[in-house]
Formats: sequence, structure tokens, C-alpha cells
Amino acid sequence: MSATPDIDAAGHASHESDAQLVALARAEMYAGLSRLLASPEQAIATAWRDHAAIVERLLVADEALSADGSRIAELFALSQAADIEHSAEDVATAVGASYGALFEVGDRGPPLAIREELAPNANAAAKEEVARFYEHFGYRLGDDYAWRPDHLSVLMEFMHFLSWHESQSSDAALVAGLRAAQRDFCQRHLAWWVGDLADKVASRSDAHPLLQASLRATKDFIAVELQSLGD
Amino acid sequence: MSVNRRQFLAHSALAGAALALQHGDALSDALTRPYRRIEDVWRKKWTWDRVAHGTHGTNCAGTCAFNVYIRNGVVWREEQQAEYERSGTPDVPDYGPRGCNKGLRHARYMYGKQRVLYPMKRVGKRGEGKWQRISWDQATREIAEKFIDVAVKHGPDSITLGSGTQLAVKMASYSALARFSNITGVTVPEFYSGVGDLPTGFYMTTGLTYLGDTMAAVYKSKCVLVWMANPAVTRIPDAHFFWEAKYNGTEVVTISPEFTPTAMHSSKWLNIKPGTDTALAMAMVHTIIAEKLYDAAYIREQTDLPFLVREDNGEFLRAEDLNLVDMLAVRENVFYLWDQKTRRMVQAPGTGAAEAPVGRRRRKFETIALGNIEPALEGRWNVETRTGKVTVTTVFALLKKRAAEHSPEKMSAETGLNANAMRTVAREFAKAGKRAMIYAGFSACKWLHGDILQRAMVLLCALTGATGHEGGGVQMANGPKSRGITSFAFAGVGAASRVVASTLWDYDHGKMKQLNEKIYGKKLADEFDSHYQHSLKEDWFPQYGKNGWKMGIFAGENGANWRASGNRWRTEAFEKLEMIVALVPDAGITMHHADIVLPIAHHYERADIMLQSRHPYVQVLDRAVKPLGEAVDDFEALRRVSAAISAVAREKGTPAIKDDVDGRTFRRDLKRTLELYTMDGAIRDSRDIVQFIINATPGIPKMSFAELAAKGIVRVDESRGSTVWNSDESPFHADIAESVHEKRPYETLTGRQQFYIDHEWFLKFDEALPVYHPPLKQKGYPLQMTMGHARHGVHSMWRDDSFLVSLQRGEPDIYVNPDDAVARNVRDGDLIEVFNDGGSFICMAHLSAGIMPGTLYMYHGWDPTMFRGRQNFAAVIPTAGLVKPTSVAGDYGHLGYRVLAYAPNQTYRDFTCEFKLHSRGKVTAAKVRIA
Repeated sequence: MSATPDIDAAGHASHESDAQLVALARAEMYAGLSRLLASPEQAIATAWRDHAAIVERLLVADEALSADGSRIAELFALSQAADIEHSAEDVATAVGASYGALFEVGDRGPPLAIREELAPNANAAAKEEVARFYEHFGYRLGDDYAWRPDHLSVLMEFMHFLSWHESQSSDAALVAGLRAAQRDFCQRHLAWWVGDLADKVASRSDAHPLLQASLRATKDFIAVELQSLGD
Repeated sequence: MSVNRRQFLAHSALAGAALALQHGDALSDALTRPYRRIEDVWRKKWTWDRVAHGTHGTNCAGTCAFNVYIRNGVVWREEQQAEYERSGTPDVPDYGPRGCNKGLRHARYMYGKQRVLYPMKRVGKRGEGKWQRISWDQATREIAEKFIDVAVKHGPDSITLGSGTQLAVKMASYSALARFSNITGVTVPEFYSGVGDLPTGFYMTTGLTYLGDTMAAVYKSKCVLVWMANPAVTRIPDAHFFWEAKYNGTEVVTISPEFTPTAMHSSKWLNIKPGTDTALAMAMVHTIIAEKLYDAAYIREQTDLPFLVREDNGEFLRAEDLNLVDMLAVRENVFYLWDQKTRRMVQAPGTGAAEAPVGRRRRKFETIALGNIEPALEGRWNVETRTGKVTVTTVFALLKKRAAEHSPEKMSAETGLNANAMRTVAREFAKAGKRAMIYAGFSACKWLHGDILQRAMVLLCALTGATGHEGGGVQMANGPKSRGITSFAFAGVGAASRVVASTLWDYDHGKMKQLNEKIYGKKLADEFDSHYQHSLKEDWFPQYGKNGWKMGIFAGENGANWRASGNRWRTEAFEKLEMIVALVPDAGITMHHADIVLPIAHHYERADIMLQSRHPYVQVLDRAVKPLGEAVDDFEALRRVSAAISAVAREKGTPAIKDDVDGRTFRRDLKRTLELYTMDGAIRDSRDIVQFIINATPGIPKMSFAELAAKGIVRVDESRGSTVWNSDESPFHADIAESVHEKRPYETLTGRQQFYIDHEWFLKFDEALPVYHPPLKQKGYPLQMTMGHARHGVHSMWRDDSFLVSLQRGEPDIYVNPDDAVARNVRDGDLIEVFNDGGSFICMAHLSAGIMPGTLYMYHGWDPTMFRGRQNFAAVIPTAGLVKPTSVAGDYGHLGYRVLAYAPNQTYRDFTCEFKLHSRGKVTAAKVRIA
């Protein structure tokens, strides 16, 4: 592989094209949403304590990609309101409790699947295929997530990984490969179930509004991504 | 995509964005492989980081060696290890490969939706399904606070630690539970009789519960009766021995009401009416005796059949009958024979040891060898006793009379079998002689009078001289000597535990006498209850939990699933607990009702060993991957609970509890729970326990856990060139072979295979000798429902696996005879309601001509949460109160409460029911018009 862009001392790249900037914005969207969709056991507690900053950055990224930043507007408004009305700790606790009840504990497993393998009508090989994707591209999960490579937060992070590398490269062949991989991955492992999940979360009264908005934003973003990557 | 000014500004703000990974890392070779299409990512599909050895710690008792393939911290698939050899002579087939559909599915199942991954706390009403994820610290603290509160107020015996078969077969895990219960004094309702698996009839007869050799012994038989068993379904890795034996000339006879997968491959199938098996057994006994097909020399030496019995009272003639000295010495264990040679009465060799009526000492120093004695099997003699002259006869003579009451012709109506068919099988069985085998399933234990059937089974094998010989005798299950487990449990603290028969615990706490009155009538309820109360009063059986049942911890079991009279148990006992804690790997009805749930590691996530007698190998469970989520193994879960108990007890300054167990007083200092549990920190994890067990258990080659893990399976110290467990050096019980070949007394009152039990209750209920008692039925409910182990699950494990369910009907189904279905306007695939006075449940009708008219059959294990209204088969099984009087008898040699040996089984079969159409099935698998 070749043609990575110039990297400064802080690890930041200098960008040569709009396409790279768009890829970077997309990478930011994936990173931010991934953080908000992670399990409370580790990242989410931190993420939701920092929700205002994360969501603000998501808004910036979304504005870079769309005319009005509408996909993040609702989430941003809710985040702002929560930031005013509640302490960051309270927000993190409330979202964590809701997250746990929706996705992690339940009578016969959690009520909703945040892992692709467990989503209704999932391909039997879905989890293995995402793990093969990770291995192919040199993305290795840590212990906490190794057993659940199909977790939505991980899937989003892998898209962040691919799109960020896309943003850093001026090698046409590499970029083409990365975009093809993103297209296939998005199609096969995100688009087919994330919308349904977002709708289900939206319909549940025990779902925290910030989680509902996060999933809605993810759904909208993935829909646009699927279209743009397919181009 | 074009970029406007606003977007440009946004881009500028993002310009410094770095790769931000929270879940993973970019490897040094990131992006080095090109991507063109999806196939590219699959090119390294068959590469692994590690191949671990493991198995599935369930109580199928298969212990099948598996290779477990791991890549990037995930178990992707498993495969049979297939490195087994054979036992005995070179013609005997080997044991491998071993495995089945369930085991080969586990790599998927362990990641399934049903997995419990985090500690949970109930936040709604019990059973409402509202949960909150909590931390381990919070969970264990809440448990500890309640534990201490209950232990101090009511005594530790009002807390139970349930142990299921799934836990019991994993030696380290079970040892951990045993140690925790021994330290704390909580009551352990034992699972063996609890699930109706305790072979009390075998114990009554031989003093042993463990009758069984390797599965390869089947190949050595000449005639094997597969009785109340369905090995083609339940013993998938071992069933080949039956078919190989058949091709080798062995007569394989399946005795079963259903045309099971085993029956269809057998030489013969006896389609017996459910619950009438003892009638068949006694008809066979009759044939063998009437046609003099028995092995007289064997029964003279090995059994009590030549022992003298007084005709006036039906009791054995004992030394205490003969003179005052012996009476004052309570020499109730000296018995007599009539020697044909000398024509006089002689003391039976091996009886009358002064040390104890039953026990190792007699076994070690006495012999049952007859020497020059030639005992008469039949005859009547007058004997002078201290109270005058009495007439005596032999047990054999009484048996002959008893058998005459069970001639094939008389039993034909009971069994539904042709008399000649019964006679033919009896002859074939007798002809096989020492190679006559009964492969017995555990179902016999689930009938109220299953103990009598088991006594009759042993009797059949004694008459042919088969018991103790390769290829012969009753084969059910041998068990590993528990020395390693008990040593670990008691180390440093002594034996201070309470193990109670679940049946009796449930009877006491579930108000089962009332249930008996409702279902079986007041007369039976009173009779059963009065005998049980008498037994308690006489201290024949212990009564724990007198202060009530306040807290239940359930580990390694799904106790709210499998209990007979499940509804009643749940409402009258389970749900009244002040706290329910479930330690579970998977969701199920027990977890569903719990207050706090702790996530437990699954089969490939733990270190342990298993030892089952079906093959001569010890099997490792190596930890292939870290437990998922926040799950931990059983040792670690109880360690955390112990730590919390110690911490809370210290904070509260809880004083030590004086605790009386069976007349011995123990001091339970809960502050020391952790240090005692871990042996002052010496036991750090399950591997340490495994090592302890390896070192302490006879027959297991001494090696490190790491060495064992590297091999997967290791051959245990062997039987002597045989398929039989016949060596005291082996890890399994070899007592039968020792009695037969080395003439050591059996651990029964008579020191023989004892077919005559002259306990007053046995005489009262006409059960001194085996006899046929018909099964109980409920008036107005014509259908006998039976159940059996499933092909697609082991108890409740894997029963909900989506793939395995898809190989069945997609939901719980019950097998119905087509004629019975037509009579009730039911078609295949319809939903039916099965009901009786106990309750009802709804499931799919599965029409099959292989089911006898007037019966229903259901493979068991379906969790209530898989049924409409969360009612499973247990709703119609009203048998939990059937504590058979003779099963709580005592003060009689080997009879009296003995853990995992003599206790009343929970019964599951003595009931009838009816069904009706609930609703038409939407999906009909096979709409067959049955004329």
C-alpha cells in the first residue's frame, strides 16, 4: 500500500481533495455514533458523560456532509437540553440503564438485538464475515469486544476505520478498494437491520430519548451512506 | 459531492480528526491486503490462533472430546477429537468419534440471544420480565446482606443451594458448590432423586446405585433388553455399540410403548403399555423359573434366594430368633441356609459380621463363598426357635409362588403383549446366560413403583447368572468415586453439609399432601403422609429447613423447569421465597422468576474435568475463550459471593452461628467464608480445583492441568482387559464385579443381592418380593402421558437453539396417535390443550402412528417460557407429592436415608390426562388423512 497523505507530528493528515474531506467527515460520523452506541460496561459511560461534545462534533461532521445537518439536529437539540437540565453523570446513568434494559438483559435475552447476528433474519455467517473483514483490513478488537464483533458500535467503528483511511489516502487503487469494502460492509452488515432496530427503539417507551435519537441518526446516516457508497 | 462554504468551514473544523478507535487497534499490517470483492475476506477462513480441547458439561454423560477452534478471541467451530481407542478384546469397536448434533452446534449457541451476560436485578414484579443491569459488586452485596440476614434469623438451613445435573457432572464446579455449602451450612436439595433418576431399586437389591460398565460392554452381550431407554436418541455417541452387537449376532430387544428410533433398529420390539413393565419382568421371571432356565449355582451363592424365611411372619430367620443371647446381642444380620448335603440349617457365609450390618469392614474381611455348603433353593423345614417350632422355607420358593401370580398369560392383559412374545424373549434372555444384559434407562425411577421394576431387572440378571460378568447384568450408569470431590468440599472444615432429597424438600415446602388429596384422594394422601411423618419421627430421614425456606440459590440447574407439579411448586414454594438468586449461563424459567441473576460461563469458557463411565477416559474442559460479557465460572461466582458475605459480616460484626447438623454442632463464622472457601487463598481458580481432584481421585493419571488440557482426553486406569469396571484401582465403582468374582459381601443387610426385604412396610405393601402394581391413573382422564430425553437437547440445554428447533416443529410438540387425534377432531400441526385436574398446557400435535393409542409422548426439556402462558408439561404432572412409603423406610440394614443412594424419587409418570383442540395449526407439516 502506498500514497498515504502527509502526517504531522500530532498524527493529523493534510488533505488534498474534497473527497478526502468528505471521507473524513464520514469517518467522524461513524466514530461519534459508534461511541454513543457502545455498551455501558465501558465506553458509553464516558461517552454519555461527554455527550455534548460528541454530539456537537457529529453536528459539525453532518454539516460537512449535508446541506442542513438535519440528521443530527434532533440529537443535538436533545443533547443540549439534557446538558442544561441534568448533570453529565445523571445523563450517563439514565442512558446506561435504558441501554442495558434494551440491549443487554432480559427474560429470554434482551428485548432488542444490538448485535447483527441476533437481529431477526440475520445471515448465519454474519458475525464470521464481519470478523473476516476486520482481519482482512488489519483491524483487531480488544478483549471486551472480541466476542461480539457484530455489535453495532463495532460495526460503526470499523466503518470509521475504513473511511478514515480513505480520507488519508490519495492512492486511487487503495481508495477504490476501501470504498468497495465500505459499500459491501455497509450493505451486508448495517443497512439491512439498523433501520429496523432504530424503528423498534423509537417505539419503546422505556428507551431513553437520547438513545432513540442516536439510533435514528444512525439509521438516516446509513441510508445516505448506502446510497453514496453505491454510486 | 460538492462542498459549499458552510461545509468547507465544517471540514476545516474536522481537519485535525485522527483515527479514533475505542474497541480495537489497527494492526501493523493494516490495509496491506487488496480488496476487490467480498470473497477476499474469506480467504483465511481455515486458520486459527489456537485449537483448545473441550466438551460440553451437560448431563448427557457423553463427555465427547471436541477440538474447539479459536480465532481472534471467538470460538468459530468445533469438531470431534476422535482419538479414542477400544476396551477389552481386539474385536470390540472403539469409542470414537464421539459427538452429536447439540455439541456441534455449541459454538453458535454460546453466542446466542439466550445468553445471560451481565448481573441483573429484577425491577418489576417476579416474572414480569423487567430487569436492570447491575454490577457484580452490587449483586453480591445484596445477596450477602440477605444471606446473612436469613442465616442469622432462621438458620443457614433455610437457605438452599440448588445443584443440577449440569453442574454435578463438572467435577471442579460441583466441588466448588459442595465446598460453599459445606462451609455455610445451607441446604442442598440433591438433584439425583430430585429429577427422578435415583435407582433406588438397584440400591435396595445390591446396596449400590452405580450399576454399569463401559458402553463397549453392550457389544459383549448376547441378548440385550433396551428397557425404558432410547439410546439411538439419547446416547448418540454410543448407540453404535448396539447396532454393531446386533450385526455380531446379539439379540437387541427394545421394550417401549413408543416405536422409538431405537426400537426401529432393534431385533425385536415389545410395545408394552406404559407403566406395566414390572408385569413383563415378572412374567419373564416366571418363565425362567418354570422352565428351569436359571443358573442355580449363581443364585445360591450371590443372592438371598436360598435364605430361610419364616412362614409364620414372613420374615427372614435370624439368629435372634433362635436364642436369647443372640436376641440380646441384636444379631439381626445373621441369616440361614438349608444345606442339602448335611441336611441341616447353617449360617449363611458373610452374614453376621459384628462390626456393622452394612459396610466396608464386612466387605473387606468376610466372604460369601459357600465352601462345602450346598444351599437348598426350595423346601419346607421345621426349625426350633426360642419361641417354639416354626416352619421355614426359602426366598426362592416364595419367589416361585410370586412368579406364578405373574404368568405370561396373566400379564398379557396388563402389558398388552402376547404371552408367547414375553415367553420367547424370556427364553432368549435366559439362553444368553452370563451375557444377558438389561440396558436400563432412568425412566424406571420416574414411576411410583419403578423401584420394584428395578428389583425385578436385577432379579432377571441374577437368575441368568449375568450380573457381574462381561456383557451381562443391568447397565444403567456407573459413577466416579467421589473421593476428590468430597476431599475438596470437606478439606480443613470436616463434613458439615446438609444434603436433602429434593422430593422431600418439595413435599414439605410445596404442601404436596394437599395436592395428593386433590389428585389421588384422601386415603392415599393420608397413607403416604403418615409413613413419611413416621420416618421423620424415627430419624430414618432427616428433616432440614424446619424454620422454613427463605432464600434459594440455584446453580447449574433450571429447577423451575423440570419439577413435577411445577405450577404448584412455583406458587407454593418458589415464589414465596424472600430472595431467589439464579446462577445461569442461559435464560430460562428459573432465571425468569429470580430477584438477582448472575451470569455464568458456558462450556468453552471454563476449566474443568469430567469423568463418566461410558468410556475409560477423563475429559478436560479447557478454557477456549474468556467468558462472554461479565460471566464467570461457578467457582468464581461463589468466590465473589463468599467475599461479599465475609465483608458484610465483618461490617455488621455478625457473630458466629451455632449450627446443629444431624446432632453435631458446628460454628459457622460467616466472616471467614472467603478464607475457608478458597483455603486461605490457595485455591485461586477452577484449575486449582481440577488439580486437587486429579491428585485425590483414584484412577486418574497424575498430571498437571496443563498436560491434561494439551491432550484433551487421557485414558484412566483401566479395567483388566475388559469392558467391565472390575478393578478397585479404577476411578469407577467395581463392587459388583468384586462380589461376583472375589466373593465379597454386598453392602446389603443380607450381604447378597437381596430380593427379599422383610421390613415391616415392605411386607405390609406386599413388596417383600418384586410384584406388579399398576400405575396410578386419574378418573376421567384416559390418556397416559410419558416423556423422554430429546435428540435436540440435553434437559433444557440447547432446547431453545434456533437451528435445533428448526429441525423439529419450530415449537414444543407432543406426539399423538392418529386415532386419538381423529377422535378429538385434531389434525397434525394443530395446537392442542393437554389437561387434567393438575392443570393444562398448550402445544402442537405431532401425529405419529408410532405412538400407542391411549398415550401421549413428549420429548422433555422444553422450558415453560417457550409455551403459551408459560405452562409446560409440568402443569399436568401432578405427581410431586407421591412419596412412596417404602422409599422412606429405615432402620433396616442398608435401608434408611443415604445421600445419592436411598431416597424417594420425584416421580413423573403416574398420571393420566386428556387433550382437546385449542386452535387449528397455521403450518401443518404433514396433513395426513388418517382413516
